[in-house]
Amino acid sequence: MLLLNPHFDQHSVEKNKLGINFTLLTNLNYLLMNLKQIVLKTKRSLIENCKEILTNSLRLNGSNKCFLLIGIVFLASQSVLAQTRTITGTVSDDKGVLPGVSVLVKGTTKGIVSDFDGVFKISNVNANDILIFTYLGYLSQEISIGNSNELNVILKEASRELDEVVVIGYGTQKTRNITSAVSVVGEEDLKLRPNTQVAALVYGKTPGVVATASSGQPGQGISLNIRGSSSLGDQQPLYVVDGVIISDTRSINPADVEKISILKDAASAAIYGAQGANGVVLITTKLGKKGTAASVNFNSYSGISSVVKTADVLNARQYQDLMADLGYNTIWSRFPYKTNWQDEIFQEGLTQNHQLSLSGGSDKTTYYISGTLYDEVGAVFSTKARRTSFKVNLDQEINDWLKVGTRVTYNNYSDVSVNDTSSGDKGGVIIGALVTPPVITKFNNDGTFTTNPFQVWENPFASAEGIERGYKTREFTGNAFAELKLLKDFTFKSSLSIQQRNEDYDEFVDPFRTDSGRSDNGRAFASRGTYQFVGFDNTITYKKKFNNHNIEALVGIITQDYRWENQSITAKDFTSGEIGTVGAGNLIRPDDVSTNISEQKNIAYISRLDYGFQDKYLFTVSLRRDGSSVFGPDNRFGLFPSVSAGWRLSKEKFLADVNWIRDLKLRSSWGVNGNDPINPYSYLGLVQQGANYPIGAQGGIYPLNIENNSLKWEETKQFNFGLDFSLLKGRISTSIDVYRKQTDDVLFSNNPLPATTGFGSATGNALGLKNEGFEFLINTINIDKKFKWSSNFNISINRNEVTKLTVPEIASGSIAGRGAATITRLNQPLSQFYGYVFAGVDADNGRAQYLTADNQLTYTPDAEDRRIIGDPNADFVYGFTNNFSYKGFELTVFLQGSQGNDMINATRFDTEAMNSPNNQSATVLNRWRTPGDITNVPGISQIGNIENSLISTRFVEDASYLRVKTVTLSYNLPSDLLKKVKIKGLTIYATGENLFTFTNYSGFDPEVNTFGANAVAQGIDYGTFPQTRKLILGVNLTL
Amino acid sequence: MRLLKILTITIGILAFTGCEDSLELNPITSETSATAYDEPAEIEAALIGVYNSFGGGGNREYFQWDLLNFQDTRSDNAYAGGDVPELFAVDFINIVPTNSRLSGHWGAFYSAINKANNVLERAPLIKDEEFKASRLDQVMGEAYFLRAYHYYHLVTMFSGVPLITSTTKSIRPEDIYVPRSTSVEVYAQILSDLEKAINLLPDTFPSNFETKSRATSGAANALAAKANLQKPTPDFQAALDHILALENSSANYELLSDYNKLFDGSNENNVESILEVQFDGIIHGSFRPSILSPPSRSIQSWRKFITPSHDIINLFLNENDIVRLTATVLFENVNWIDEYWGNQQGSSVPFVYKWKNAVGWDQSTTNNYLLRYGDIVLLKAEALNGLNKLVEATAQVNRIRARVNLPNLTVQQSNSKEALKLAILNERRLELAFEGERWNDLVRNGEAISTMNNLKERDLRTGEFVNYNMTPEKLFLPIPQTERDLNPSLIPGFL
Repeated sequence: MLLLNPHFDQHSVEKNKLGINFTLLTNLNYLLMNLKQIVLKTKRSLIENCKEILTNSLRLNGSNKCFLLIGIVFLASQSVLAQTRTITGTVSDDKGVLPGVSVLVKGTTKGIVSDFDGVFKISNVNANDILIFTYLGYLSQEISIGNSNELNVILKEASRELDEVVVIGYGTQKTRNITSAVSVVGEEDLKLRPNTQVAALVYGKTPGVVATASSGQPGQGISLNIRGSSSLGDQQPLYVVDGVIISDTRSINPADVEKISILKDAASAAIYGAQGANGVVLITTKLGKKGTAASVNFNSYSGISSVVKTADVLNARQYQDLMADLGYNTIWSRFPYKTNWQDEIFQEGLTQNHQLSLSGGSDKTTYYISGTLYDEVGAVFSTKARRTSFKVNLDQEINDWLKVGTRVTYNNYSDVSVNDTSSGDKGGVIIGALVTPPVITKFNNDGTFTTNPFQVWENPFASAEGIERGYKTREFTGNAFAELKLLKDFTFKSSLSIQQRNEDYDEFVDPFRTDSGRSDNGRAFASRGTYQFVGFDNTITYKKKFNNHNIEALVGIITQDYRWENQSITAKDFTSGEIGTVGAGNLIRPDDVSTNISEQKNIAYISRLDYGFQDKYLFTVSLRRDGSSVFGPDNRFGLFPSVSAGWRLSKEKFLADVNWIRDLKLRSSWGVNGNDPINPYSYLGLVQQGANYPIGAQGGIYPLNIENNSLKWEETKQFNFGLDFSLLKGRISTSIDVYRKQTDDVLFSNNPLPATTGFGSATGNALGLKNEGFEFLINTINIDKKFKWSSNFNISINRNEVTKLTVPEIASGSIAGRGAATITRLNQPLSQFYGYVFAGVDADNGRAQYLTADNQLTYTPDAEDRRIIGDPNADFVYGFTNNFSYKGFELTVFLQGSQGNDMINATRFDTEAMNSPNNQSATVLNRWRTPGDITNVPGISQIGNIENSLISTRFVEDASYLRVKTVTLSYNLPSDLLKKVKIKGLTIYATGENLFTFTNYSGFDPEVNTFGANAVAQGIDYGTFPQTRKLILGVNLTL
Repeated sequence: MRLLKILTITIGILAFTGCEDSLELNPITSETSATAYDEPAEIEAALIGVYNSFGGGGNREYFQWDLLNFQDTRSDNAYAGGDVPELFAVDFINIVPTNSRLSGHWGAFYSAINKANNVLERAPLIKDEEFKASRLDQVMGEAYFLRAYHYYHLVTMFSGVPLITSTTKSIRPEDIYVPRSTSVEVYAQILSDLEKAINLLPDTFPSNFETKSRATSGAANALAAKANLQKPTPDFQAALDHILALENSSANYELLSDYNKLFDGSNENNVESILEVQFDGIIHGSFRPSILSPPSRSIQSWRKFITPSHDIINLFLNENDIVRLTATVLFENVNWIDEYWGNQQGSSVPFVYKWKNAVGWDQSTTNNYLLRYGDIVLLKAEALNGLNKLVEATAQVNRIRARVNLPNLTVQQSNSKEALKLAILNERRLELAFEGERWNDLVRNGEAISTMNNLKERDLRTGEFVNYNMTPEKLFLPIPQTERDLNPSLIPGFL
């Protein structure tokens, strides 16, 4: 049986070329492949002979003659040592001669460039010299001179990106054969990006993917959004790491990642039918290469982070003036301080990450082992995050028909975050830092936290320091698989995946220092959760190549079992502040204990057929039948088909002679993806316990939701048309995609109901959504001399529109004291800002004026006067990476931006309203004071009155930005220097993140969102922890 | 090897036989509506779930706090105090439809109504004979009462509201976009539910605790009396009949001899009490004492809510009503600014002190009255006055006054229907201050607009009187904007 060995690589060749270990070559195929390689490097005549002999004799009877033959070849090459001479030759490709090919004698600086006819000539070489032929867009070749005087070299087109193996659902494909919209973020993009989250690595590198960090907290996950919102609530794509569906991306260690594939259209994601509607992010972690010696890599970086800008607030004097205007008097000498709360709360953060990994392989085994320690102290007081993890990846070929492997990760993660998106008086630390008056200091004499002079609103340390808190997870993710070659061309693969996560959150407020702690006489909260995922995938693949036909078929059954358990308990009444565990509390009420366990199960039958004719016409069809326990018996199963086709025009005769086109492919796809992003048991009418009352013999119960057997799969139909081309020998490569996504029966768990129903919301197939977009990606190699410069630019445009709505509208994005700020309505984009039109300040009385529905001025507009006042959806987003290298130096500059998106700077409601004893932003120095003042800042308000600060155009800002996201300068130490100390590679680098931001947005950071990925509440910044500027130094050492 | 191969293939094939039945998963930590109400005990539990709305869930804020805001703060009894802008708006009768305190309570009432509807639908399906004989009537009566009780609060707050008398079973638009009924229709529903409740409910339950915790015929009669007087066209005779029925109850309601004992925290579930929210500090604790009591009597040092107004303090003083003043209010020097009582720190400020024994934040065991006989006695006076029985009416007022050592009403106060009406209103204000009755009293007597516009409360920060700008449109609260946004069939205004 002849096995194709895909893991064949250069290293094995080297070993054999030196004439050692022939006896190890027991696998005939292995030998054959090696010979083919050798053939390329030897004289053509010999090749022909050898090949003929081999193919005729070896394949049939496996005779040992072959060894002999190779022995002869090598003996011959050994015998021509130590004679200097001149060598000439011609370099060509399959279309003709190649001028400008660089020819270098390995290990020296001696070299030449082939002339216009592709001819080169190098003198003073000897037989054991090796010539390196390199030419942009072609595979470089190393050829030992041997005893020939003339070398005619045929370079093969590198088309690296075309031959790149892309991981797709339940399989791989070469880029050239892909007919759907798949983006790949590979090694080049991943190296030297000192980042703690995978999502951050993807954003800006590929079009159609937008990352939203709801805040810059160290422990905050980053959500990705692929091609607009096709779902409500959770927009997250499906993350699959080495075949395991991952629910919390924070557990993925970016340093372990080899490659990321992003399946954007329906056809590519269809194989993940049930969960692929938001796109799929497939992450492959590293694995050693066959036949390589163990390689040790140590990657370590550390850096500092800080909040990029601070806000101007009133100083003590100005604050006293404002309070006097508001009618607040006090004996100010009791408040003599001049505290800068932002200085106190914002601090210099420190990040460090150290990873040690080991990888390698023999001819049957490949492995990768890594251990990582990451530790971050955030840029806001008390925040931190820490992760220790290890990973073992192992593949083993047992024999010629069985291969097994495993991917195992264990993570220990913990973080401490602060309450950021709350008002100052509710413990919001960011807003607290702005609105806490400078006139107080941190602690009172008795050790309690100070409060506002006029209200018992504690300073921001009360929640940052007065609450001991922490979140911890311990997570095991593992998968074991076996691959069997059943019959000729058939492969059966069985894979068992497990993810088990234990999540703890603990909080303790001591009974003395804070008001809330004193109220409860100390309060502790403990939550314990476990999450368990078991996936069992069984697939059979059929692969056949004959003549011009290439067929690959896949069928399989996937089962997924989920189980969540959560227990939480609140205890109050503590005798001391020393022991903060719930057991030390003296009061635990029935309501303060809760247990929740739920399960979900999915089953899918999958199938896919790929057919290619002459690598020119490519077709893929897939069909998936999915069942999910979250739906009632009548709607449990959904059917999700997809088709896609590609046409490689560059393979057609009429383009064969067009040299400047290397590859040109048209592709088109259509498909349906499903989604079931709702709670387990959603279709059932659940009954809630715990509604107790001190009468009767039992606890009370009540209906929790409305039974709904008609709940069904959310379906996204997507059409994609794409064009890939590669020009000028790969110096320019481009992908263009246009798509239209129509999502029907969008599932929404918070589908608001009129409260008269007795329920606040219901889970329902609430709406229809349309997303249309355009994506453009261009990679160019601008300069390719000793100095190299390459660029990657991508831009994406997405428009969404609500095409169906089962409720009149969805109001969301609620801001404390102001109500809902966003509205989602039929035939409009999601999450439009909804409020009043600010019409300036009345110079006579300082009151804010607004426009009524019929454009009259009013101080007190009605709800009916609200309009759409802004759009958080960007016109386009883009990323631009430039990479410069010279000798060992490499500089990468990554810019990323978003244009045309609005933001409600909701923090300003708290810092500009002048209706409370809060400190305010320096903007209010321009407030209206006396009749006749012309200003756009209204005068003071009655305490609590919000008429001057309603949600209005006044607070809507343009949040377009261009950000210098990262700049990395690295230096690879010269390899000949390193060789002396037996080091394979040493790179030192410095990275700056979020170095500069060009924006008109007045808040801390235009890139955050208080409501995270919530599709109906986008573009609101209410005291959100900003992303920080980081300066990082790192070293990457390979032994 | 061959064996291994066969074995592996067999396992593989087995793995391919996915079992679709396994997608039928049942909830682990909650029951489903299909089976949760089959047993008598489960119906009892569903009924407890309705009572729970008094002390827990979404209504907790209403019955412990906002009832007083909408009745006492909104009227002339109190200032908002505290630091919540939306409550300042209530104080200034400037309550916009987007005020979140509206939507919260609106939703909580309908949640309670849905729970009651659930009991009314499920209880009759119980097959258990013993339950049918001994408890079914009572359970139905309790549920009717509870539904009526929540509608009473809705109609007095918002005027006409959607009438929902069965559980919501689907989210189809025709099932959920219920238009408003008129207030007349809502009162008719309330009274019809109460008639049923009166017939089904006992006067007393085996224990006094249950008699004061559960709906009784007395409670149903009391609420029916209130509803008959409060409705747009009062029915004085019906109100009087219900009060007489209540007075004939074997629960033997009577006025406590000492007004102080009503509020000293150690006489809960007393003879004057008709219905109370029960706080045991374990299942439910009350935060009302924490939110109202002065810092010296509670843990919280922040500015407390519902600060008694100059107007009501002056009334107590002018009436020389020392008993009720001291039982109701406590003065204390505070370290914050109060814009009405003292514009500098250290000023003496009054606090509502009818609910004592603050423990922690919400761990107080102090009950709240939902229905109290003292209120009913004064309503009896109102009903009698409405029926032109001035002498009997005056006698009822004097019963109340005698208890707090105040002289009988003067001749001028009781010799005309109009004068007596105002005297009763005044008496109710003193007797029921900060018990959540004042705004309804003003509206019922047609005095809300004049009272609020004549009110003189000086804001010390500006030195000017507050302009409450009371208009007829503000007699009732606006339908919450969120609800209007969600239910296109709701129209604003009074109905």
